[in-house]
Amino acid sequence: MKQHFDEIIIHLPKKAEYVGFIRLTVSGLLSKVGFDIDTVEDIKVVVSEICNKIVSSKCKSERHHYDVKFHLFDNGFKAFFKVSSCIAENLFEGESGEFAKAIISSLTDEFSIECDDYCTITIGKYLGDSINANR
Amino acid sequence: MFEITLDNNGQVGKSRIVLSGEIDISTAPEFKTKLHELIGDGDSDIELLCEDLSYIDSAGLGILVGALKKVKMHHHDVYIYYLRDNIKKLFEITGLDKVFILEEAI
Repeated sequence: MKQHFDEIIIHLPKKAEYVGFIRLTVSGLLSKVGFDIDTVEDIKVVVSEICNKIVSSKCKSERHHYDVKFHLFDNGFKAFFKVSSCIAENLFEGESGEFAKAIISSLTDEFSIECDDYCTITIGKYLGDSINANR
Repeated sequence: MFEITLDNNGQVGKSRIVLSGEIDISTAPEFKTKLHELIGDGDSDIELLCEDLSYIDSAGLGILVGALKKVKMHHHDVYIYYLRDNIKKLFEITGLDKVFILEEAI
C-alpha cells in the first residue's frame, strides 16, 4: 500500500455491546477510502469477528480495554488489534473459531498475527476492483 | 437488535422460524436460548426464514450448527430460506452451504 496514510486509534472497553459501534465506525472509514458497499460489508464482518474473539476471551488480564488502530491509505486500508499473547493463541479455538478464521482469511488481502511482548493482529484490504463507482 | 418468532402457519411436523435483525456477540446468547426453546427436542424439520436477517457472525453460525446437530439426531433437517447475498457468502466461505439446505423460495 502507498506510504501516506491517516491514522485513527480507538480505545474500546472489552464489552460485547461496543462491537456494534466498531462495525459502524469501520463502515464510515472504508466508505471514506472509496470501497464499494459489498467490500464494506465484508470488512465489517471481519473486524467484528476479531473484536468478538477479543471481548469473549477467557484469558485473565488486568486490561479491561483494547486498542484498534486503523490506517487509511489512498489505495487501501489496514487495521491493527493489539492483544495479549494468551488472546492471540486462543483466537480461533472451537467450532466458531474455525468459522471466524475462514471468514477473515477469505475476505481480506492481508491477515497476520505477530507476537512480541504483545501480539498484533493485522488485516488489510486493497482498493483494487472494490472501488465505489460514485467515489 | 434481532427478533426470532415462530410462524408455523398451522403446519404439523415443521418448525418455521422467522429471523430478523443482527445476530452478533451481544445478541447470540439470547438467540441460542430462544432458538432451542422453539425447536424443543428437535423432533421436526426446521425452516428458517431469513429475508430480514441483515447480519450474523461466527458465533451465530455456531448456534445454527448446534441446532442442526439436534434435529439430525432425529433424522430431520434445517432448511434456510431467503438469505441475503452478504450472509450467503459467509455460508459458502465456511462450507455451511453444504451442511444446511439453502433454498431461494419456500
